[in-house]
Amino acid sequence: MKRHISCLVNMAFFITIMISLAQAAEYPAPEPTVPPQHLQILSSTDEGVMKSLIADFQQQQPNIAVEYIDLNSVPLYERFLQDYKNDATSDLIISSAMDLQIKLVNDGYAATHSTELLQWLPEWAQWRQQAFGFTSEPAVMVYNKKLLQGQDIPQNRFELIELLRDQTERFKGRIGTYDIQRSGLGYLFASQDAQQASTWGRLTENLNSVKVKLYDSTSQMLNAVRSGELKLGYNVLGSYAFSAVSHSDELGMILSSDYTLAMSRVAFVSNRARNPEAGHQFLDYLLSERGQRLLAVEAKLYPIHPKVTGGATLTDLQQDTQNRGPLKLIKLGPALLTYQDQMKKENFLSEWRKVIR
Amino acid sequence: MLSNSGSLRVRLAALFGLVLLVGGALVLFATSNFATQAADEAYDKLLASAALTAMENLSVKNKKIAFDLPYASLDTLSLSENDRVTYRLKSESSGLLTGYDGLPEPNLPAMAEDYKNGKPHFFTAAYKGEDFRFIVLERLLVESGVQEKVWLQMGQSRLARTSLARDLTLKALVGIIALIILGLLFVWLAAGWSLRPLFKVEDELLQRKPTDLQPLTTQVPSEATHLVEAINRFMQRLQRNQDRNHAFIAEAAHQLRTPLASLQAQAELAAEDVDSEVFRERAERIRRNAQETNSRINQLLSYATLAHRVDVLIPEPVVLEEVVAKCLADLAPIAITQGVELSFDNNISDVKVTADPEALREVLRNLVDNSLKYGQENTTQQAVHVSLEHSENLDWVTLQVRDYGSGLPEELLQQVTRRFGRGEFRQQSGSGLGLAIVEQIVRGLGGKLELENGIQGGLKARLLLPVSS
Repeated sequence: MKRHISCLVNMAFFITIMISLAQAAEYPAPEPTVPPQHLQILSSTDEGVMKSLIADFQQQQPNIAVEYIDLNSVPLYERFLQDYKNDATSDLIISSAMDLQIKLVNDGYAATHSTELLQWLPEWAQWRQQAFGFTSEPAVMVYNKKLLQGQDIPQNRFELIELLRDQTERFKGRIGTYDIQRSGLGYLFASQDAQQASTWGRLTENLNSVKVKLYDSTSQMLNAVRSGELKLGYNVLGSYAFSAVSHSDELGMILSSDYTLAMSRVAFVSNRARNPEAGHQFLDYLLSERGQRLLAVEAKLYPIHPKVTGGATLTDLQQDTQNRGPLKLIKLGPALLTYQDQMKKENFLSEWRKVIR
Repeated sequence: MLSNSGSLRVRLAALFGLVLLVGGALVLFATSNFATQAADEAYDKLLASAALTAMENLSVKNKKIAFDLPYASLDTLSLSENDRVTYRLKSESSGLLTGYDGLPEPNLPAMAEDYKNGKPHFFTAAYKGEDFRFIVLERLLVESGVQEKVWLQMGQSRLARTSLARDLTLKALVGIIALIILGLLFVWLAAGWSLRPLFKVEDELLQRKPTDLQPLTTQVPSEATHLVEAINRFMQRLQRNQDRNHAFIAEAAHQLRTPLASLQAQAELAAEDVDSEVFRERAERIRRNAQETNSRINQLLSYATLAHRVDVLIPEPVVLEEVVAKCLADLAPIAITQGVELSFDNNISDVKVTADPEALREVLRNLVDNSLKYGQENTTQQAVHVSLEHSENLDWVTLQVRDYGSGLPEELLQQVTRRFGRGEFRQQSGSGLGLAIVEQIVRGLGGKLELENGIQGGLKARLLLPVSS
C-alpha cells in the first residue's frame, strides 16, 4: 500500500485520476418537452445502484432528462467547488462523505428545500432544511464463512482486538479495511470510531500488527473477502455488504455488539444549480415512500422511511441491533466539521500513518 | 380631530385605543430589544462554552502549537439547530493555524477593553451572506521555546437567536393585544356605566307630561350637573314664557271682551233708535269705542311682538340720536294734528348704545305715543319734550320723555314698576299697558326705566341706557 507519500501529493494524484474516470450516464427524457428539462446529479453512489431509481423517477417525471455523474466522494467535493466557482453546478449533490457534505452546506453552498412533505423525517437526518440524509447504512464486519467459524467470529471490537492479538500470525495480511487517506467514507468511519470509543487506539495497533490491507473501495474489499484473500473486512459499508452477503454463500456479516455506526448518504440541492427545480424534485423523490421503498428493494441502501421495512432498511437494522448493542446514527450537523479541521485531520492521519505501516 | 357629534363611547374607545396602541407599540419595541438581548445572552453562553472547550485542547508539542479541535466543541454549537458555524485559530507570528480563512476581524480596542475586564470578546458581523455572532478568546502560550499570543475566534449564525427573540416578542405581543382588547372592553363597559345617569335623565324627560316643566330630580355625577342645571334653567325660561303667554291670553280676552260687549250693546241700541240726531250721537260713540278698542288691540299685539322680542334681542351698537330723530319724525304728523309741540334736545352728540334697534324704537315710540295720548289733558302747555343727556354716571345716558299733563297717580307709578316682572298688567289701562311693555323691553336691553311725576305736573319717563364702549 502507499506509504510515506505526502498526503497532499497523494490526494492530488488521486483526484486527477478520478476526475478523468468520472462516469456520466445519460438518461434521456422519455417524453421530452420544450424547453427540455435536464437534471444533473453529482453522486458518489454507484450509478448501477441508482439506475432503477432514476428510471422510476422518470416514470413520474417523464419530461426530465437525467445526467448522472458518478465520482468518489473526495473528487466529488473538489469538482463541486470548482463548478461553484464557475457559477454553474450540478443540481443535486449526493455523497456518502457526510462530513464533506455538511461542510459544503455549512459554508453556504446549499439551497433550502421545502420540508412540508417530510414531517416523518427524523431530527438527525436533516440539517438546516438543506442537507438531507436519505439512508442509514451500518459499518459492519464482513468475514469469509469458510475461513472464520464458530468461536473465532468476533461479535464486537473487543473480540476482534483479542482475536488479532492472540492469533496475530494467523491473520497476518488477511484483514482489510479502508485506506482512510483515500476513502472519504473510511475516514468518516475511522474518525467516528476514534471519537466514539476508547477501542480505536488498540484496534489500530492490532490492525498494524497483522499488516492490515488497505482498500479504496468497498467492492474491492468485498471481493477480497469472498475470494478468501481476506478473512475479515473491518468497517465495511453495510449496504454493499448486505447485497454481497445475500448473493454469496461465502460471506457473513456482523453488526458489532459494542456499537454499530450508521452513516447516511447526504443529498442537497446546490444554490448555484442550473436547474434547481429538478434537483428539488429528485430529492423529494428520494425521500418519498416510493423512492425509499425502491432504495430498499433495488439498491439495498438502508432507507430511513419508517413505513419501509424488510431487508436493508433502517427499521430492520434497528430491530437487528435492538438486542445486540447500541446503533449509533451519525447525526447531520456541524459537529461533523470537527474531523475536517486541517490540524485535526493532519494529526489524525499522521497518527494513522504512524500506526499503520 | 374628532367631530363633536357621534357616540361618546366610540370617542372614548378611539381615544383610549390610540393611547393603548401607542403604549403597546412602545412596550413591544422595548420587549423586542430586550428579547434580542436575552437571546444573545443565552446563546453567547453556548458560544463561549464551545470556544472554551476548544481552547482547552490548545497546547505546545515539540516547540509547535498543537490544537486538537474537540468534537464536543462544535457539537455544543449544534444545539442551536440550524445555525452555521465557523472558527479559526490564529497566532501572532504565523497567522491562520487552522479553521476558516477570511473571517471578519474583531475591533481591537473593544476586544482589549473586554479582556481588561476579564470578559471574552463578542461581536456581530456579516459573514458569507449572513449575520454571525463571534467570540474571540486570547491566550498567551509560554512554553518550552514558544512565547506567542494565539486567538481562537468562533462564530455562529444568528438564526436561533433571532427565532428565540421573535418567539419572546410574539408572546409579549399576544399579551399586549389581549391587554388592548381588555382595555377597550373595559372602556366600552365603563363608558356605558358612566353614562347611565344621563340615560336616567333621558328617561325622566321622556316620561314627563308635556306640561311638566319642573326641575329635574335625577342625581347625576358632578360632570353632568352643569348640563342638568342648563336644562333646568331652560325649562324655567320655558315656564316663564308659558306663564306670560297664559297671562297675555287671559288679559287679551279680558281687554277685548268688555269693549266688544259694550260695542255690541251700543250697536243694538242704535239699531232701535229712530231719532237721527240720537242715532248720530250713538254712532259717534260707537266709532270712538271702536277706535279705542282698535288701539288697544294694536297695543296688545305690539306687546306680544315685543314680549317675544325680549327673549331674542339682538344687540348692536346704535347711534341713539338717529333712532330718536327717526322715531320723532314718524310721530310728528300725529303731534301736528293734535296741535302738540314736539321737541328734541340733544345734549350729547353722536352717543352710541348697545341695543336692539327695533326694540329701542318701539320703546321710544310707546313713550312718546303715551305722552301724546294721555299727557295733553288738563294742561296749559300742549307739548312733549324729548331730551338726551349724560347720566350722573358717565357710562350711562338718559333719554327723557316729558309731558305736562296730569301725570300718573302715585299708586299706579308704584304698580307699573312692581308688576311688570310677573307679566301681569291686568287692571291697567291705557298708558299702563304701554309702560308695561316698555319696562320689560328696557330691562331686556340692560337699561332702566324711571317714572316720576313732575313738580309742575306731567310725567317724566326716563330711559337709562348704558353707553357702548
